[in-house]
Amino acid sequence: MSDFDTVARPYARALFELAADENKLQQWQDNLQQAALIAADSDMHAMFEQPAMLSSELAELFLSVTAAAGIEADADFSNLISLLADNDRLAALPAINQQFTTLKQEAEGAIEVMVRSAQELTAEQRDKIASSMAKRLGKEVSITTEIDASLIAGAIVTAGDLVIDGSASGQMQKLTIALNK
Amino acid sequence: MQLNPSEISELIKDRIKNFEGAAEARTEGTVVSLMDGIARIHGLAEVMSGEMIEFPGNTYGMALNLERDSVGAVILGDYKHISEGDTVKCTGRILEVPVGEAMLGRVVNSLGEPIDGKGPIESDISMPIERIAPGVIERQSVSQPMQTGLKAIDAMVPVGRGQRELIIGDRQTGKSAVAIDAIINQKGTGIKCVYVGIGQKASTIANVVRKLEEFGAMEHTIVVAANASDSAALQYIAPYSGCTMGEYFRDRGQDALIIYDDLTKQAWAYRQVSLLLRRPPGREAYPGDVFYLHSRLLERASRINADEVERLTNGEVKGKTGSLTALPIIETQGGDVSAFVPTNVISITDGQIFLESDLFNAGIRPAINAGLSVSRVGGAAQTKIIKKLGGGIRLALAQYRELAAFAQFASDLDEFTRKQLERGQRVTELMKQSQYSPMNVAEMGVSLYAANEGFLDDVDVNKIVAFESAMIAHIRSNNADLLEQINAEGDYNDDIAAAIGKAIEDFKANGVY
Repeated sequence: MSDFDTVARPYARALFELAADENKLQQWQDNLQQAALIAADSDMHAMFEQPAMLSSELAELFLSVTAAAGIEADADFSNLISLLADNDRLAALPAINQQFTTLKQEAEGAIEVMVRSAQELTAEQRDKIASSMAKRLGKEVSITTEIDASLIAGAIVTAGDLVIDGSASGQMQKLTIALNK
Repeated sequence: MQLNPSEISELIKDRIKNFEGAAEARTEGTVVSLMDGIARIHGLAEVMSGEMIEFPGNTYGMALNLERDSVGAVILGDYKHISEGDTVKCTGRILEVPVGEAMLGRVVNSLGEPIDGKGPIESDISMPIERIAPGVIERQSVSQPMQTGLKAIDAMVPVGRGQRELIIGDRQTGKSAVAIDAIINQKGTGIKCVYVGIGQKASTIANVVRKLEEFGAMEHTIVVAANASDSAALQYIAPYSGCTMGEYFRDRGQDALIIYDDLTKQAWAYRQVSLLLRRPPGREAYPGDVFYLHSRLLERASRINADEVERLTNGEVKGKTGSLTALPIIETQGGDVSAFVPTNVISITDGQIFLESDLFNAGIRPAINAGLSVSRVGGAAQTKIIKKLGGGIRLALAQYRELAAFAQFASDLDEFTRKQLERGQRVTELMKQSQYSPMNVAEMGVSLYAANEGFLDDVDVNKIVAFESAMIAHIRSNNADLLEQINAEGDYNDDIAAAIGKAIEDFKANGVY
């Protein structure tokens, strides 16, 4: 997971700068996301480790798969794949995608907030969480929700590393510790 | 602990009442890898260096390495239940240990949890284990003695309250014995003691505790034990925990004594942690900050002035200085004091007591090398009588050692040299003292007086030890008021000298040894 973080950093930064210059952030983001999914596939992973395969063949193979997945490969994108294949770094694509996303969100002042709740949120609750999180973080917030009955009641809000635990199960856990002391 | 059911429900009710159940916002991360008590954590964006972090299962750790993509942390205690992918939370606090009077008489681990099976510790105060040492303004110079009860130390290398005096020597030279004797001697003086055992056998700690209990010294002592089987992280933080417990007394205008037994093993534990965290190794594979490891610890042993005590206690304690005296122990290999850690600690402390295996094997116990042992500040803190009478001892021993080397070759010695040699032999004998038998100031004064005034010159060398104990016993039964007077005042003048002289003459005339 974090193994490729250091390797991916210069690639992600370079791609981000390139995309920002050409005003194609969203397009790159979509393409990278697809490519990352393909690179994370176990069959594709096996291909990366094929010693018999030339890097040019590998790049060709990868591009054919991305084309089948519906990515419009412009020259820059195919160059990126060839470069990564040359450097034997195609496996770093998920990490590159992740860092690219972070850079993009940072640049746009946006953050993804994930709300796990015991019951489905009403639109009003959603808006309330979104506005208070936006106030707290000073960023534009996009909310994704998930329902997790094991929380019993309440919700857990996650934004990056920040976790706000307002769930009944979290409190019960704390109570368990307090009673066991 | 015996509880009846109604008490239990009362206890639970109380806990539930005090339970704060508000939603909490914390920074979280996930465990990426886990090995040898070191966890690598992804996330934890806002973690601070040295911060306490919470693992699942009420286990805590300390963040030590803040890297670009990950945080390196040591886990304090067992880590078998933690696995890759587990959530880790920031706590925003530095590691804390319980402190206070309730800790006295207890054996605790590095986290202040009792390990002596005597039930929970009723202490509601806790303080962080890493604290900044008092600054220049808050300090006062060392001026009161901290009697170890060992003649050789109190006469030649005196220790003052607030001093750091290193005890250094090879294995099996009686380093711990000196420290334990010092603790036993604090009985009834009001000095609270903390004994920190680092990387020792659990049986050794059990022995120490048993001995302290036997001599009634456990009531004023806290034992902090990070045994050899405990994780390196716990061994690394044990001295800091112990120091915090000692500082509690210092900050309240009391005097405390702390023994670190021993810092060599703590440096090893820290080396292990550092290498596992992949910090670059330096000399002897120790990390670069091994000096700071010990200097920040020993700097906390100090004497603080009355104003600072008043400030720290919010005006509760007035006009009292507080002190924390440290006796760190360092084990050398083959008498090599120029190794890395020994030189570091020698340079940090205010002097050292150097114990030698040759002397120890020759039966001179405590095996103190009088030439290499020094106390840089203790002289100012000596009792008047010991200072007056002990001054000659060091000189006599130094001259004796020099002459003894020459005398081996020469058969004919002039009268003066022979006298000096004999005096030296007798003083060396006199400095012997058996374990667990600390002496008070008056008894020491009498012994030293006897040596200075030549009362020992006509006593057979191998009878000196017997002579001394018989003399002390005699004076104790016949001149108890004289001893009491010396102990109370610590003064030395012609009257006292004459009284001591008379008492010794009386013993020589009537006593048997």
